[in-house]
Amino acid sequence: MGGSLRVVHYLNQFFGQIGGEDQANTPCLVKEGPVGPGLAFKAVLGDQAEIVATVVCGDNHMGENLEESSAAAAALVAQYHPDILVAGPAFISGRYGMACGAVCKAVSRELGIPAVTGMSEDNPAVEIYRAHAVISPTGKSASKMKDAVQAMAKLALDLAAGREPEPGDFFAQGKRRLVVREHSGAERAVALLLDRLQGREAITELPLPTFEKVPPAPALDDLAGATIVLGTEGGVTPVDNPDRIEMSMATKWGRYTLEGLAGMDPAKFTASHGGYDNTAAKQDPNRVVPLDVMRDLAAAGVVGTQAEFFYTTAGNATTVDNAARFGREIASDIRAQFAQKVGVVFTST
Amino acid sequence: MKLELAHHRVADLSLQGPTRLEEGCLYFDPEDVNALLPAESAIFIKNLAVATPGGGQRMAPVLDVVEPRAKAEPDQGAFPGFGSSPQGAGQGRTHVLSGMALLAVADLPGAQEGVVDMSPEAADFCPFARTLNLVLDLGVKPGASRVAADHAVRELTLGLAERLASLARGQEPERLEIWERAPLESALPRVALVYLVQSQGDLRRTYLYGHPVDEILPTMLDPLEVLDGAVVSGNFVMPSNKTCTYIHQNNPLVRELLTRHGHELNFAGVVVANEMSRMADKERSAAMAAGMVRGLGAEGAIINQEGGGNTITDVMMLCRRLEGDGVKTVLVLNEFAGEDGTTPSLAETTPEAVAIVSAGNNDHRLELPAAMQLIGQEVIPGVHGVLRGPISLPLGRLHSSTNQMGFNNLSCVSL
Repeated sequence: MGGSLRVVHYLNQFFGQIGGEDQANTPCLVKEGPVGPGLAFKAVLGDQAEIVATVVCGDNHMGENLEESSAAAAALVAQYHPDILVAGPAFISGRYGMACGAVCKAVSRELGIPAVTGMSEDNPAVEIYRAHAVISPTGKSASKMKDAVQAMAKLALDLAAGREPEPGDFFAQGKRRLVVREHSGAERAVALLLDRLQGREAITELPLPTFEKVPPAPALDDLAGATIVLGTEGGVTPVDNPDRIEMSMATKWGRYTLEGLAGMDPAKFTASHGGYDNTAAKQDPNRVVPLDVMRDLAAAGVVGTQAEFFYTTAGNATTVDNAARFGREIASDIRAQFAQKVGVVFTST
Repeated sequence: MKLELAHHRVADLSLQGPTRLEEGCLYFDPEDVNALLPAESAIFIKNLAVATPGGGQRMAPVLDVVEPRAKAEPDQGAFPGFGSSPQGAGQGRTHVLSGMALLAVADLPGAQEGVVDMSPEAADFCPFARTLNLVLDLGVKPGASRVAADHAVRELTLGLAERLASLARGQEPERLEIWERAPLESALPRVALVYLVQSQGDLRRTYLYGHPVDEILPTMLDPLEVLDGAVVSGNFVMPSNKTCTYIHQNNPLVRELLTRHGHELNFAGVVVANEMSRMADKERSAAMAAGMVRGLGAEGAIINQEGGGNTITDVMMLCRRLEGDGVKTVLVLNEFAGEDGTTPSLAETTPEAVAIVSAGNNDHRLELPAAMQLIGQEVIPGVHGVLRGPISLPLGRLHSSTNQMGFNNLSCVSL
């Protein structure tokens, strides 16, 4: 059909008709056309859109490595050049919800197309993915499939057409959008305070964000046998800042050698971080990257070895997303070199 | 205390002498500025320029912005503590050249300043896109220390601000803005303003009656002192969310609270506190400031932020303490929600922060057209493109765009 939108559908092993729990480890595969609930979508979408392919993946396979597996799924999706991705619905199923959310996020990011899924409000994946996927509120189980498909199809068509969906049609994403108000922030602040003092409903302009909880890694049980890696967000770099790490709103990190150095030589290193006065750090970069002390500790046998490089970025007005990405990438880099018994001393300014 | 701000609206700015204020037009002979600059100064003047709303001029990096003011009494300084006795702001008559601003443009090492843009597209986003600006394009002499240059820029800017406004002495103002705080009414709720400033080292400093406030313990100011030059900015670390001198002089929170005083609320007072660099100092400051708010008998308090990063801790500490004391708070905060608005807007929160006014998202990306005239640097960090041409920049690089005294009209909504 000339004008019809191309849809790829993502399903788990069960709805994708591979099998039950025993097939939850199935790696991602593709089936042509609609499968299972895809047929219900086909009926609702009619002439407007066509499910050209269905990507199926086992919930456990996804769950074991969300980042990698959702990227793999997105790559499969990409092959079909779709206009929209539809995933699930997952209803209350937590693992399936996480998989749908992760695939939607990856597809949005890689392909820049709308990605719609459906979950019940108590699916734990809602909180995690609401900002990264458009999630239609559904009932708790597949007995509500008909309603879910209806709602998801409407959302998908709205988004594909560039229409703003109704606020009730999807879980609020908490995406912040800039607006120009008629009144100044000061006028609004005094008005808001008077609302509170006079017992009227006081509506905040900024609902408090929640932060992802990151469990710390277990402590090193053998410091004397461990390697210590130094890192900093203090913006200490080689004097020429070869990778041009920005001193504010940084988009990158660097890894630089410490080989042959007993300490951080101010002739070789500088500090470039807009959030604090760099004078003392430039005079003696050991103040921010304590290599001199670490060398002493290694020599005294308190720690096993000192890694011969350090990681750095400037943590000044860094977006949380970038900071999280730096963390993942640096951790990955460390792991690639040290399989075990490694600790990181990361200094902050 | 009674303060009379005598507004002389400047509708036109000309760099043709002789220097005079005549029928709403400020004429300034550029030669006259040399009288304000000692020969041994760490800085030199490259140029003077006029930038008009909609005129398409672009200035970067802009350091401070100051409103020209002079006391009617020639012995009194408009910025007490800078070349004049460090006391006495907030009373008597002060001449104001309204509708205009003085902009200092200089490439000061260690400053991280941004853009003032006069294109129509920038009008909503940059408050000084809307004022008639006299621009000082300054250079730092080779070998001069950045601290000496910083002081020299400030001395020149404040000195010129006073010189220009002194032209209005003896002239009838267009209007008089008179403030005299009536005694507190028992029936109305008492409200305090917790006035946070950022003073954390060279080039990121605020001055109270000429005194750097890096190490101060919380103190109090009469609202009228705030509106009359007691607070001066030397903060050049983040263009969008700092408080420049112009905004201290025209503090919108003070003005709004004074306007409502005696009507819906009692404006009980202003507690000034610095955003401290060390944790213990933050704790001390928050505790003492909260104590002062209690001492004022306040039932409500507005807390602003200046800057970002570690300063959010000061704000949240204060919020937590005050709410714990039964004082209802409103915070005025900017956001760092990422370019697509999906990352957490704040680096720190406290559950008590239930009422926040947003000053907008610093990461929101703006496209601005080519400049009709460029004053300053060809490129500055954080802005994509050569400044003469069309540019793309986050709001964080636009001067005073997300000012957290609530000076601008930007905000965010959640989708």
